Amino acid sequence: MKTTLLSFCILLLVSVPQAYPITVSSKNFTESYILAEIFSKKIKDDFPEHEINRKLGMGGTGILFGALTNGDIDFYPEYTGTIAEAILKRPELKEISEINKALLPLGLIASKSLGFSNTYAFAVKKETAAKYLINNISDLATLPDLRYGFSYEFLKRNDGYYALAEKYGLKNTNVKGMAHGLAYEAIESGSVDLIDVYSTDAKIKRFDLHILEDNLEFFPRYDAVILANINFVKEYPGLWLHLKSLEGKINGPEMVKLNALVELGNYTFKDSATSFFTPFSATDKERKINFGQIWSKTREHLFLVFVSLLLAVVIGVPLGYLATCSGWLRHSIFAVSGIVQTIPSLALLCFFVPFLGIGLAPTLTALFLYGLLPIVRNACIGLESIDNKLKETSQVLGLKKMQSILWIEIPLSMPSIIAGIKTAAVINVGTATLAAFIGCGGLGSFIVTGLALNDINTILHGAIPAAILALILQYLFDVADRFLIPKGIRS
Amino acid sequence: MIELVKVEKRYSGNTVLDNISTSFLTGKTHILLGQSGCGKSTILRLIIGLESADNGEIFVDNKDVSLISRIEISAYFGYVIQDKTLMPHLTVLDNILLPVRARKIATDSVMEHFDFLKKLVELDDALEAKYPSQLSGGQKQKACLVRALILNPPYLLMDEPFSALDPMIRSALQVELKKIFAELEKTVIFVTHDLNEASFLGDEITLINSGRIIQKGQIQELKSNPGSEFVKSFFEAQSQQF
Repeated sequence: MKTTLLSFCILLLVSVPQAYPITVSSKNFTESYILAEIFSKKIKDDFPEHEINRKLGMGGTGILFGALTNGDIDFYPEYTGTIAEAILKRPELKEISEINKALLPLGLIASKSLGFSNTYAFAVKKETAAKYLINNISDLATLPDLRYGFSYEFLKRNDGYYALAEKYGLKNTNVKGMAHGLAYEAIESGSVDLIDVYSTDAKIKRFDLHILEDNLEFFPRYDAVILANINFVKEYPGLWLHLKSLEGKINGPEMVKLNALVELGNYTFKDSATSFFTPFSATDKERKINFGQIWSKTREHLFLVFVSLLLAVVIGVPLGYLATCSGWLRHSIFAVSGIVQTIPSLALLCFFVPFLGIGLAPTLTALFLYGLLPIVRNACIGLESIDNKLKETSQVLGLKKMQSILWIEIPLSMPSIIAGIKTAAVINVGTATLAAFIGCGGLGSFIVTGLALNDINTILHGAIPAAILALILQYLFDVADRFLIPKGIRS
Repeated sequence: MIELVKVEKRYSGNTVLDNISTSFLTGKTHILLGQSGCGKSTILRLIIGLESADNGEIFVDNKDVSLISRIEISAYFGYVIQDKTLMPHLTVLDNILLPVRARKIATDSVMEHFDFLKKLVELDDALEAKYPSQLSGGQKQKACLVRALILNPPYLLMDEPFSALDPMIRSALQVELKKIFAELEKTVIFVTHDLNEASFLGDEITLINSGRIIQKGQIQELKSNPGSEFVKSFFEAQSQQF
């Protein structure tokens, strides 16, 4: 009865007529994608009247934090440790209630743990666990002869193995350093007995390993939670409650299984999220090339490149002209556009997120700025290289300043201007792949997903069309030269 | 009439024109004669408004050129110089019509005059559609001359227009030019360093040295009655070349 009443109340609360699209986001690694898909499915299945926007695979905590605080996105999966350290800069905060107290002034709120923590963990083979009756890390204290294989990072960190050994009183001396990627093969082949892993690694399932409980709570808690904007929670308390019903529902082994479906079984993030609600017996799938998807991402990509390029031409050529007018103007224009060029593209994209949010505005702004320098510089050089006698002649013939610019100076500097536009276009085709990091789609979406999956195939889905696009553009500009460069000065 | 009154011009401290006062009467061909660097080209540049005088005044038909706009000044003059000044991206025809279009004058209204000029300078019709890079040096200068005259300006200023051409074509063009001057009855100021060219084309010669007018008069007067040692030696040096 209570549940029915609660559901009824929830229905009442969420059935507001003018539903605005709800935006769910994620970081660019498998687990984050899957959780975001689970969140959106959770809402979509039970409240289909809400439109859900999925801006997945964003480039980092900073971008997501910016997007969340200014309301571009409504919620995304995050980890308590990351919230405490990266967002709040208060690593001492452990409990969700403390964290929420600190989040409140920022207009954010976190759910309780979804049921698992993604942190360092110790893993042994199931046979080893059964043989020595090992359940938690304390059990290791009586087994000094086990052979440990640890990642170099875990061995080196101040809060790594040696601190842990002290806390748990481990006296093992047989400790080997190895690359993380090789650890699973090492334990499988029996050359080590225990390795450090991330607690929800897909390979834990593949190699059928047993995770030891961190019974003294040495490892920092990285409990998965839903981090949301408080306005969303206030506007849709029903939806928030509905999402919060996922609290405690996803345990570690379950998350490992979902990650494995994607990373080892070649299922999509969506498939994996679906299997959380309705489990199916999974057999590994062959990933197929989806040409329709490539085409639609290519169109998004072209849109980004051309709109930003158009802006850069419209602003850049006049700026190039201004630069020819006075020395200090030239220096300042070149200095500013030169500095912009030295900022790494991803950093530049992220720089705009606090002001412009995520999506189209910061992407176009960043691409526009990248395209600007080659266009301004080439326009300026082209205009400056015009023989002064010709400029004087246009004056003597009675041409007004604007006539002289449009009829004489711009056409004469066309070869240089076009060369600048060509360079800008090729730069932008490459840089636009980063748009995916701030939720703006394009061919970069494949690259970001592929990086998350460590799947070269998916990366190539984005990288190859982008490279082909750059070549096609280059060719089209060569053709355009014939129309845009006046016949008399064509080489 | 063009009149210069106490005109001075300096480039970064160096005096190029020093207190020049002279006038160029309407309807005649005036020659500014002198060695290169003597300041003769600067006089044309000041008259046409490409540069302004540091001191003194210049009047064109009694109007002070420093007080009228550059566009307005340009309507008084046709200007042809030695360098390539045809716009390389425009055809010969578009080059010639440039001053017409700049003033938004209907091109039809100048076509009759255009045909007249073409015949006068013997500019081949077939060249109209060509680009400057496809023309010979002499053809380029002819096209420049037609462009300078297309709006029928009262004054024609020429600054060594033939000095970049080879001697054969040059003397042929000088003959043509003399014919053209006679036909058009314009006021011409022609800058040259070549005494033969000067004496062949000019009614009145102004000899200039180091930014000053040394002597002014008809060629015979200057030859037979040199006003200074410089005039004498200038004439002697030039006649030795032949």
